Amino acid sequence: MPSRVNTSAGDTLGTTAAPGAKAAEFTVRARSQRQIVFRRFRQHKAAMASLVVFALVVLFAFVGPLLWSTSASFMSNDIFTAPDASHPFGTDSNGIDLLSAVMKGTQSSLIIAVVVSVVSTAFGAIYGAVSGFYGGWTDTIMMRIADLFLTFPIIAIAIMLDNRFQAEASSLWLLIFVLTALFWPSAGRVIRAQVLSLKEKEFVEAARALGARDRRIIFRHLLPNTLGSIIVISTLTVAGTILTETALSFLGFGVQFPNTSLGLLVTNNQTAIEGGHPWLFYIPGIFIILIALTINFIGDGLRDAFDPQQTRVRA
Amino acid sequence: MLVYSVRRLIQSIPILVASTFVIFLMVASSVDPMTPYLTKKPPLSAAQLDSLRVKFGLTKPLLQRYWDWLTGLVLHGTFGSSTQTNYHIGQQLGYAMEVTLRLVVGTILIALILAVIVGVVTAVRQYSKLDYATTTIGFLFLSLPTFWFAVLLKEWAIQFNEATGTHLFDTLWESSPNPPAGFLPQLGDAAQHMILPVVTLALLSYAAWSRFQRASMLEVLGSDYMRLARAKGLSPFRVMFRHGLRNALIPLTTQVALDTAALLSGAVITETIYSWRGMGLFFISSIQMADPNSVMAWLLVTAVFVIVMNLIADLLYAVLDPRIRLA
Amino acid sequence: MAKDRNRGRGRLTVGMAAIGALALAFTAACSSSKASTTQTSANENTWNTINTASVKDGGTVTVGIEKQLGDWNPLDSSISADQVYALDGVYYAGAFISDPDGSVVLNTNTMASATLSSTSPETVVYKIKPGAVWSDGTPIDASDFVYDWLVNSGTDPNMLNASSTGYNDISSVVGSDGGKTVTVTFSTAFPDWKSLFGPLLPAHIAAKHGYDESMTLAQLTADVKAENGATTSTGAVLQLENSFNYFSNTAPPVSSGPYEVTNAPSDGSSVTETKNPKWYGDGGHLATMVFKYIADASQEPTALQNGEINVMYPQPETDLVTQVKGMGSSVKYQIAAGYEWEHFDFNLNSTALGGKTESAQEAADKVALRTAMLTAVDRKAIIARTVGLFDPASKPLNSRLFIPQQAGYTDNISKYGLGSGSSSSAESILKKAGFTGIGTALKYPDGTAVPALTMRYTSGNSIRQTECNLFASEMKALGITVNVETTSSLGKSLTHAAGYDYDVIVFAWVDTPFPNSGNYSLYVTGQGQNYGGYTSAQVDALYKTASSSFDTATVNSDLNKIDNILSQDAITLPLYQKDQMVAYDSTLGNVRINSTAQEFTYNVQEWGYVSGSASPSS
Repeated sequence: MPSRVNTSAGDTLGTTAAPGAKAAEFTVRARSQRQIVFRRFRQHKAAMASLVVFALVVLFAFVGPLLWSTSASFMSNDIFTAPDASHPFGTDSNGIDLLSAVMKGTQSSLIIAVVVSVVSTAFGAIYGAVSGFYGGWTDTIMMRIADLFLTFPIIAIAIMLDNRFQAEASSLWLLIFVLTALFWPSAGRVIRAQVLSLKEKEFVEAARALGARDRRIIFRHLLPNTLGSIIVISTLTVAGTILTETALSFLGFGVQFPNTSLGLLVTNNQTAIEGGHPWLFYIPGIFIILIALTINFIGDGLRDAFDPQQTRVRA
Repeated sequence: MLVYSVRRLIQSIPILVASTFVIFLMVASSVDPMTPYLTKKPPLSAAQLDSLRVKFGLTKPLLQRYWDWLTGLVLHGTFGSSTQTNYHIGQQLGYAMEVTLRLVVGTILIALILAVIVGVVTAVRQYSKLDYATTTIGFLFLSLPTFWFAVLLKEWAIQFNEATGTHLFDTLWESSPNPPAGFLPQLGDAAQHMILPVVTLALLSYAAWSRFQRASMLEVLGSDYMRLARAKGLSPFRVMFRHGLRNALIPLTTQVALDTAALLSGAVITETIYSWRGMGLFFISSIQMADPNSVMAWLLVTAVFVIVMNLIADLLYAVLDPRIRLA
Repeated sequence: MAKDRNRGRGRLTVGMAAIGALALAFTAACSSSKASTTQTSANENTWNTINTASVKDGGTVTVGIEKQLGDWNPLDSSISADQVYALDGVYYAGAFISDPDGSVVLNTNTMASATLSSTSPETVVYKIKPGAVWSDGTPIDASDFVYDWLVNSGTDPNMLNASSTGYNDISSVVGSDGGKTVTVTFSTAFPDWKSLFGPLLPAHIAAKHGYDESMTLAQLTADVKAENGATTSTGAVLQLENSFNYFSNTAPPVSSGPYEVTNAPSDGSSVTETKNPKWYGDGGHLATMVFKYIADASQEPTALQNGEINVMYPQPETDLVTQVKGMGSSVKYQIAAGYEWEHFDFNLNSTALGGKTESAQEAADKVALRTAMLTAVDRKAIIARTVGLFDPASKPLNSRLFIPQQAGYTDNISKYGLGSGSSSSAESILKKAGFTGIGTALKYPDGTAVPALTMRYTSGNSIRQTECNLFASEMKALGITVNVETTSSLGKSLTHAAGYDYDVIVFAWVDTPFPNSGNYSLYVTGQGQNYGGYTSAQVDALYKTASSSFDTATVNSDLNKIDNILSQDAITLPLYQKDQMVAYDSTLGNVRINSTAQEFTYNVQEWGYVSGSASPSS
């Protein structure tokens, strides 16, 4: 496509050669796919800024507790203090420092989200690739099974499982399991659709002609070519998980004490605005939005980076 | 296409049966209708508790309970008896569906209009300030937890009511407890109650759809037939709407059909906050009242929604896009 | 490309601006200040009279309820408190009612008198007012008493009535004087006879739905016996159940109260009641009352503020009370400590704390351990962080069998040092009993370690979460590890279902104006609600004498003896009385808290808009 050639040229103009590279006036330096993607991503300013903010949030959650020594379970005598120097985020009815509570909550929300996203996308991608690659009855059966998971709303299943197992400790891992089980089918569908068209491409023919086994074709040829989608899906799943977890918490079926999460913090303080201590409602809420928003921007940037067609088209 | 539809529906029957079985096991193990009776003060006698267990069918083996439920459903079209007193599952579900439908229709209408306008404008004015602003706002809505947003909206609505001394916004229920007499006033009352929940859901739903619309619009704008249409010298307006928008709406249509299924199963959180007794609240209260058959009924209806809407999405795709042929 | 970059920045700036705008909106949302709401507060003398006003006739009141309406039968076990108060005005023609101060008084609208004419055998004579009729014109008479007795007698195990206490001691109910005099004779003495014949069901309607009015207890007993324990009844027994279930499934077809049901949508979302044209008693000012379901209780204050409801009766919480306080002069509210009380309860089945037998529970080291644990609990600190936040009047409850409103209330807790929070005396109790590792890792006198204990509270209850956390940290100071966990089903935990079991649990009991019969099942060996498995021959014996005595002073002294034993055995610790709250349109008169099972609508016939006020709608 001509437009694509144009913009590539634009790229070269807009950015100088990588540091340390000799001025190669007459040779065309080949750039790997990875470099191209990375370069494109860097040009997506909102995504880059989001990445920085997101990194800060991660630091806040995981390094913050090392620097801010107040424990998230310590009940001080400062009850309902508005944000000030000793409690930058204020305190709640138990005198618990909200800053440390938000750190702990962000930490577990992020852990839940990342684990769910990685596991569900990985499983979904392999499932979708196998289904798409073999086609026929295998495909039909595998996709109908995925449909079975999609048939029931995530929240409903999570609530029921939670209702069942809540008394048995470690509800955090149960929640992760439930969310994973319910996020993978959508990843599976997308990857299957891509594999359906990829498997008709020449390079698959070639690999087959060279005697590659099915497994090798799937893992070495098909899946790597869907990497862009996989990364985008897993990124967006992080945002999806955080919001779903918040919804579950609101309904009383999310993370349970002694574990915590941002969703649980907001839920516990849902009446705080009218109660006269609005910081308890706004601060954890803003962290949820911050994570979801930055992730959405990063996902957008990645999509643009992996799929040049859409972004480079001129109207 | 009829053959295709029939085949798809037949294919989905085993899924439906399989999933009802899985769900039945899950419900049987997670929802215990005896729970509310265990902590009564004064306590129920052991004989009364036994009698209740029989009444709820808990003494039968699990497989038989499933079989009874399935045959009841297939042969008599019943959802089984509820463990709640004076509660007819079918009737309640019907009412809940009507309430949700009201919410969903309003939401889809507003969200769709917003999504198409925003999607088209941002695609046509790609990379303009407007594009960036609307994109950011869209992402913001995508990132808002539903209940957090709903609580804020309610807060603002009440401040508005108080500041203006009017009663424009209602914060609860799908209609007033004592609706005014007459058809039009009643319609107005219902519409007034719809404002907040519909705005909540529409704003949270439009964002994803507008991104979708923007992407497909961009794809269409860059396509060869658009180039051709422009080259033929057709008016820009005609090019945009006859050739561009029409084609760019196809993916959105199917996406909306798919999302409708999810909306129909109840916007649990929105319905809870605004006390709309729709499908979402039906489900939550069935769980809270530990009523297994109500939970089953809800899940079944929801599953049917998803299957049917999936089929509709595929059919729509085939109807709208001549290149696709269903076999 | 350079251009693109600018755009990128633009995108970000616009984004930040959008977030900024949102943040501004937040601050705008927080800055509203108003005159504070009037609080009406009661003391012992004003429980029954607070918010008394002369009211005018007419007007509509909408009350928010937190549960869907489903069961319409006040005698059914699945009835909820919300349902009861929603229907108080419709069917409460009972013999006695409980006033807000807890005194049990004759329902003078319906009854002319009720007297205990003999104690051996116990005989009570009820006289019904001649004019008292159901809303269809049928007189309220002895047949209604007989029906109440038969369904509550506990004879039919398949009858799901809420309570047979007292009714199962009755040998006969006989009408005379055209049915307006009812003589009830007991086979076993039941001193709390005033708790009987609360809401009466219309026997003449029951007769249309299966009940055979000629049925006798002997006949019912024989029929049940013939069924030989079958789980489904037949014949006349089934017919009696059918008539009972008819009342469960149908909105009251007739009323004996000031209002009658005129609209009850089958979805259970609301009930509309209008004035009963055949109302024979005093008052009945409001034209219409609507009880409407609100799914999320935390949305109630907003609805009150927005005028969507006129009365709410929520469980008070800090934020909610603050919110109501900020509503200004259009709303009044009342907060008062009621009959419900929060407590820590040990599971004595757990070998760490006791055992199944009395000797295991009374072992010196276990008693010392339990006493030390309860001594270390600082109830004042718990109150300060929970109910004290919104009700400064909250104080520790020092009795398990009475609340301060009741005559028998005596402090049986703090004199034993329980709940004092004194870790030094807790430590010395342990030291004296031979425990080691105090403050680090506690060991029994025989050297074995005290195992980690599991404490549970109802998930989502943040007040109980705080209580458990404080308990855990106080136990940690003694060297005991307490793991706080939640339970999604209090019922399963209390009945020790696998996976839900506990060592320590926090929950609340609801007392009744009848401390004697009301608490029997909590502490007597093997009773249904003795969840901790406590067993004490002494307590059982005292209860036996208390439950057959007609002398209030004797009963109260026996009950206090029991309470002292419970303190010495340290099996449970009452924390505080839970508050009740009612908030309402400030133009409404005679709305007040009644924390007995009668609920705050006990006097709906007196409710009304204050004379001279502009009622919102009529």
